Amino acid sequence: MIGVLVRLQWMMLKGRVVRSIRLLRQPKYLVGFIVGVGWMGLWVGRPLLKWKLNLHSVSGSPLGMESIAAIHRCAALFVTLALPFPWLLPWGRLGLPFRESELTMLLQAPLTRRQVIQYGLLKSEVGVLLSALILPLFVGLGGPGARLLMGCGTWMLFEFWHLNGKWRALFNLRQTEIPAALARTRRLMLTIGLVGFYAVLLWALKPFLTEVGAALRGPDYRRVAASLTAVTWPPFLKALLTPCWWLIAPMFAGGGTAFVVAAVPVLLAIAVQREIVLRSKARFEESALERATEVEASKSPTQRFAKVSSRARLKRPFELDQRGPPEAALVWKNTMRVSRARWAGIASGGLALLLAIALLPAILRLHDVTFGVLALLGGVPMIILPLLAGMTWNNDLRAELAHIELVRTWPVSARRFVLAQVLSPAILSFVASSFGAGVVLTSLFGSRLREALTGQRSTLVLLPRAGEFLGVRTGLATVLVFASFLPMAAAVSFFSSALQNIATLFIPAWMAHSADRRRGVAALGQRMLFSAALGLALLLASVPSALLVGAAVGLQWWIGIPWSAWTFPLWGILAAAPLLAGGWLLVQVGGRLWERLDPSQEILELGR
Amino acid sequence: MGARAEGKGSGGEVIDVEGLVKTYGSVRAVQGLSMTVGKGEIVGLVGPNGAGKTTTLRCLTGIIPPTSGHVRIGGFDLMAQPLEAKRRLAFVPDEPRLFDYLTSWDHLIITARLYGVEDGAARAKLLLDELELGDRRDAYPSELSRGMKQKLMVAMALLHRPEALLLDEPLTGLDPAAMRRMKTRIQSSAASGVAVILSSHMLHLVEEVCDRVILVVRGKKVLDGTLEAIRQASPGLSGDADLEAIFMKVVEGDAG
Repeated sequence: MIGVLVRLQWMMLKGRVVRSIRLLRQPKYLVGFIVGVGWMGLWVGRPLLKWKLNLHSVSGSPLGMESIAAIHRCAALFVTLALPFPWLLPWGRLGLPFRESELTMLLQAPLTRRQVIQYGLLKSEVGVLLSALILPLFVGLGGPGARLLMGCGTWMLFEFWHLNGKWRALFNLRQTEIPAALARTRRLMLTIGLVGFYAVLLWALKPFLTEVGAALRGPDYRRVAASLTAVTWPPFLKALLTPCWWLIAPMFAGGGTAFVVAAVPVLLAIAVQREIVLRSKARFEESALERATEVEASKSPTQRFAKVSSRARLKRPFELDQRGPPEAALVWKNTMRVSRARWAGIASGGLALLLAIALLPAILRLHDVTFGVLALLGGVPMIILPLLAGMTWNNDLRAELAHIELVRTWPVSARRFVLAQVLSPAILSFVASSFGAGVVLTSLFGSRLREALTGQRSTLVLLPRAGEFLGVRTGLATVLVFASFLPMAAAVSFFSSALQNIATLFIPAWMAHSADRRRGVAALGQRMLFSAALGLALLLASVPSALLVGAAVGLQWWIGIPWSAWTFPLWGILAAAPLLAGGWLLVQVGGRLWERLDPSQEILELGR
Repeated sequence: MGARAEGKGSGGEVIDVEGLVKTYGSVRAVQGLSMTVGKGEIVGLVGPNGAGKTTTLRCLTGIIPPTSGHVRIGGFDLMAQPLEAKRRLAFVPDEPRLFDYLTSWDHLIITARLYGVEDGAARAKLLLDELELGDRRDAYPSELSRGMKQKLMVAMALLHRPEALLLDEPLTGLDPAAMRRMKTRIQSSAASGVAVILSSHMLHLVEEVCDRVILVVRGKKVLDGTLEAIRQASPGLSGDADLEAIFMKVVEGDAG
């Protein structure tokens, strides 16, 4: 019967692989897959490449035997400390993890309890194996053979740990099923045993830790390493670490024979522990079903909205009149995907916060660094959010595609529909970026205020010598710099959002945001490729802006108009104009695309 | 080809479909479908799974563009004058796709605004009460049962007083009482002059509610007419054969 279960697992895995391969027939998926594989290959292949380039180190590890023995002992100490610790905690996962669909099928099939548990254990085997084999690629020593042996040793450790976790989960579940008095006694005995063990271990560790502490005070890292290697392990401590030392011994085995010798007891321990799990009397079925339902619910994007209080549900970003342009209604709707907070409330709250940033640290005579940190905190969203736009908010066409059966029936022109989708994240990005700019500006002024109040010189000055060149005081020049930034932030937000929405229409399968959002190498490649393309497009789109501002500056110089900070906002507007025009053009193109979009079955199935 | 009977709305065709074709690659999901639905008429669209019913409804509502053919709603061509046509129609899909982040009330308010319904709020309240969703006004879709979601979709569809109403499996997820009320609602909508296309596998519902039946098999219309006219036109069927018997005869005959 277990053969059938293995076959079931295999078929599920095969189904996933076949589905992914079928998608690769479409060039857009294929390109994403190649880029993703290339990226992963760089990470995975790098250690092997390094090994090939350093052939002299093939025969053995660059570390000496003493160092390896010390690392082995330290690793045993870590496992001894970490492995039994969860047993002290009475909470955590109960039973075995199953999907709802698996439980429905398995529990009504003519299977024994043991077989169902076996299936539950089998499910996680692929994950355990992959993690065990990937780890030595990054941290392994020596050539491929040594790395393979280390991978197998790592698998044994992970498998033992994994089974131990399952044993604990079933033990905790059993505790809820047996009479309370008996459960308390069992818990008490377990706690006393473990606390006693940890107490003895700490007592045995004390002289060792003192010696380690002394070794760490060495003059340089070479001496420290040498002293640490030479630290003596007390015999009693070594005895306590022995079980875990054996458990990880296959990872540190020097060759094939040593590995076999080390692996035998570990495999036996794994088999024993597996048997304990399989013989568990815990009634895992109910808890597994409960957990499966919880997991399904937690995956759902609707969870976050269900938690909104009944009072907050009455809030809307702004009042929607019965008549007006459809764009406003769509922005109203899309904004609620992010927050139902009233825009007027956000504006007043934001202004109060800016005022507090400008005044409070100065009045409280906080260190000037405070303003530096605040300026940095404001500066990051100020720059990043206009560039990311829809990527941050996910309230544009990406999310709308899952509702295509509803939105396509609305009597809204395609161009206006796309414009609303572009504006929804663009407005939020612009507002958030402006707030970031406000934080930077108020931090600068707060710093000056502190200077005035304390007499201590402020180090946070944006344009320290503005007066000499720009004909205005530093404070005014700073304000004008930020005034020039705002139109650019608006334009970049709009353009970036337009680009992302156009991409959603061109390559909807890559961009759509839905409950069953794709993961895996292909999706990673798609995201990387799109991010790179977006960056490149933004860079290219900024060329006309740079040329226009350059021309304005050149003209000013040629005519002989004196340099002044008052021209900054004009430059900002000039820089924004081509981006706004480009964004507008993209909206027109997007409108045509939306009109002609023939949604494939893949899109129609989104969110089902 | 089956009989063609004049519907209630003859002379005032609200939905006019002519030579509708929809292909996906080499697959022809809909093959030259033509039909009309008159004012106040209820037409049942039936057929086996994969017959092209949902694809037809999606083409009729502008969700997917037809490969060829014409769709006119209230006299407006869906491709040439989409806004005018869409203002006159409403669609209730088989799977209620509501916005996770909007409450029931928000759904109705935005629908009212997009369709320019002057008395949107008052009508939304009326429909919520009528469909027994009054106490679920501020609920999110995740807090509604399948049937409630279906009712909300119907409320959204009826809010702007459409001339053409297209329903894809409207009774799925409803309890018997709600089914009864939904049937009455469909009939009262038709009585007020709305042209209704109802796609369903519930043949008894189609038989009970519809004035005319269109049977589609593999994207082709194989029967179109009243039940009586179909019976008369089909040799080998008894005089009291119900829709299920007709359906089975046609589908099995087609398979054979």
